[in-house]
Amino acid sequence: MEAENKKLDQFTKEVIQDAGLSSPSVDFLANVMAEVSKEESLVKAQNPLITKVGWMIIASLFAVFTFVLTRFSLGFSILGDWDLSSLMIEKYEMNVDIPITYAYCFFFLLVFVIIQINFIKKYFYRSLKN
Amino acid sequence: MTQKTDQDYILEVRSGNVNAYAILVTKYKDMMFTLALRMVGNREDAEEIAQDTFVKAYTSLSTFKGTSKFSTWLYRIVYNTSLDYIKKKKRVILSEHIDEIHEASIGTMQDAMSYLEAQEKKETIERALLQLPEEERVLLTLFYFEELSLKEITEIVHISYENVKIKLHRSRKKLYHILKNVVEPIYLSHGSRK
Repeated sequence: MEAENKKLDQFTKEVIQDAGLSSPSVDFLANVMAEVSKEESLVKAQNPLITKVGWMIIASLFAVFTFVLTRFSLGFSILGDWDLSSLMIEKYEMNVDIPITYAYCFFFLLVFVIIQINFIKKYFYRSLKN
Repeated sequence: MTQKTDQDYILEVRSGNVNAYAILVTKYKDMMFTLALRMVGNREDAEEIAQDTFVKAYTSLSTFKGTSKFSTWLYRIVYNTSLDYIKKKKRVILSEHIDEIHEASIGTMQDAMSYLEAQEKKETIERALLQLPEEERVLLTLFYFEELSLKEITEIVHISYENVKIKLHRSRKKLYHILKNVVEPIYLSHGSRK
């Protein structure tokens, strides 16, 4: 039994080695590289206008300005002596009260918009790819 | 000068040299095409699958961690892509009945195989392989041609070590019987004419 298995093993090895490998058409490599270049250009086209580093710099600057402006008041206003009190909302006695339902609706709308942006992005990516 | 490894080329591709990928494609195109061909059974589809696999591999090259060989990773992608294709086409492969094999008859078969011309032999084996289930064709190719270990094969086909062993054993027997039915009658008829 053991000898028989060994012989069958050897026979199969010879058969599979004899079958060898098949080659694709001559322009296979060119086709693959053309597709790869297409993918490459799509990736480049997909690069965002503001990179991750860019967003981080913007966020850091925003944080620094907020901190400086709130903690270290310069003691003067760049608006000088302009009297803007006439523009104040209180003058019109507006009493803004946002209902909780509205707040929830707004929150979910925001979530849907964010999700949809991803779907739309993927949809355009697929249509560009094909 | 030392020979560049797959990993060297992968690093070059990752750093923006797309042309380095052409070297990897050239190196593996025949094996990838053969695996796809043995899975799907026709050249046009196999070429499309092999091409898709190389493009998929390129786009997900950043996810290749290097824990397995690059070739194993590629073979896994071509195997999965071929499986998806087969599922779409819903092809049904009939299994072969397996009889007992005797040591002496293997010797006769070896004589019969050596009687065939190289090209005729290659075509006969290819036709015989096509009668096996897709998975078994791939197992035989990976084990006997590419000489991968059973452990490496398990990584590609997602079946257990023991299962690979059993399937290999069964497919060896099946292939033998298929070839016996095709080759021996030709050999015997030529022998009797002489």
